[in-house]
Amino acid sequence: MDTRIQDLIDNATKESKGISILNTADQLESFYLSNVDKYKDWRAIASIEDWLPVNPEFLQEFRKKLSDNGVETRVIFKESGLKYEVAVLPRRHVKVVPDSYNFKSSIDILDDKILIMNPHQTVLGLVLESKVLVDVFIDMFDMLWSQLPENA
Amino acid sequence: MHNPMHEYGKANWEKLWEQLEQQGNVGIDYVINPYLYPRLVSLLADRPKSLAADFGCGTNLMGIQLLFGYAPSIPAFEGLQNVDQARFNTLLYVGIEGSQTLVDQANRYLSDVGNPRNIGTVQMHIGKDLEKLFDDNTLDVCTSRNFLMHLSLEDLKVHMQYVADALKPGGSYVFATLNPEYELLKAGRPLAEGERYEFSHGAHGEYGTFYHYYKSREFYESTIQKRFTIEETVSCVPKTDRFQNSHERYYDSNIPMAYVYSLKVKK
Repeated sequence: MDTRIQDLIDNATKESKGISILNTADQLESFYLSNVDKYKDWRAIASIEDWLPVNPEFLQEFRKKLSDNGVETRVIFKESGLKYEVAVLPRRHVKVVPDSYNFKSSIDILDDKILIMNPHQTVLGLVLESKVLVDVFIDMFDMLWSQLPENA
Repeated sequence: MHNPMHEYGKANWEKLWEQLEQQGNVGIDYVINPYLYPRLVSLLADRPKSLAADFGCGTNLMGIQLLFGYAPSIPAFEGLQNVDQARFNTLLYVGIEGSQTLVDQANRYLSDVGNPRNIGTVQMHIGKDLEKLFDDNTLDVCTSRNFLMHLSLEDLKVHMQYVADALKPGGSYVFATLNPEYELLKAGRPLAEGERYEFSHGAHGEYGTFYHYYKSREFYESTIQKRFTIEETVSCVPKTDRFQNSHERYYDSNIPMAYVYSLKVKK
């Protein structure tokens, strides 16, 4: 391979894009699976009822994968989402907000990126790789988490 | 040593070509691209992390337009739903161009858009002297637009073999090339197979004079079919009536200005 081509390929593969778009369920699953063993903490604010129809089996399997990989997982969702907590998983912690909240998007907050997902939009998911944004979202999540009561 | 095979046009051809690409051109924007872009977008939308090569890319404006252009203002994107998917999927789009002048301009354009990581331009003359830029089985999609006319008979054969080697199994080559019958019409005289002749761009040559090697459709297709299956050939005729008065020559469906070929490598 010509070194100029190899350099272009190396550059393209190693650099993050900043903003990436996920258009299909496969791409969404690929995002989750490719990150499941990369982080120690996983924060999420989720609308479970809107996420589940994308792939119900995958969501439950992924929760278990996070637990199996020792990822400290904290999730905030609407109270009605509790019925989808089918098992007590080590290192998985959930808190709820009242169902009076109407959000339909879900946000996964990782150390270096955020996924905003909404199955009702043209674009299924938006991945933002921005240190500035991630810092704000982590602090906002932690602030919210600290204000919510522990589940009974 | 100066190689006349690497002269693609008469004096000042690079500047004129750059102007043509920058200012827009009815033949490219409204005749060829509406057939070429949808097929490229469709291929890229189906191939995650794809590696694409554009042979004879000029200033790589096609790559820049495909990956970053404002879709609503690009006629060839009209009605396409999967442009975002194609852009997301493109790991790297490499333009290959023989003119260092045009490559330098391409790099200035890319600098203007922030040097994105997923597009680049490389200088290399394409023909029987081409060194291997790509390893075998590397590329997902290849393309070229109004480039093959510049290749001699032998260079075309080598180019097709080269592309076939570089493509992965299942890879595709989608290209646009002038209709040989249209070339005869413009030349106004018979042309022999492989004859090097001067082609005038524009109704009166106002966009420059370029050197083409005339190749009949039969020669093209027999060369192609040694390594590729021709999946589709479409005639490029304007989809709009806007230019019927100013560019009447493009509206003859019996002698379309160009064809877009969609090839699948035989591997």
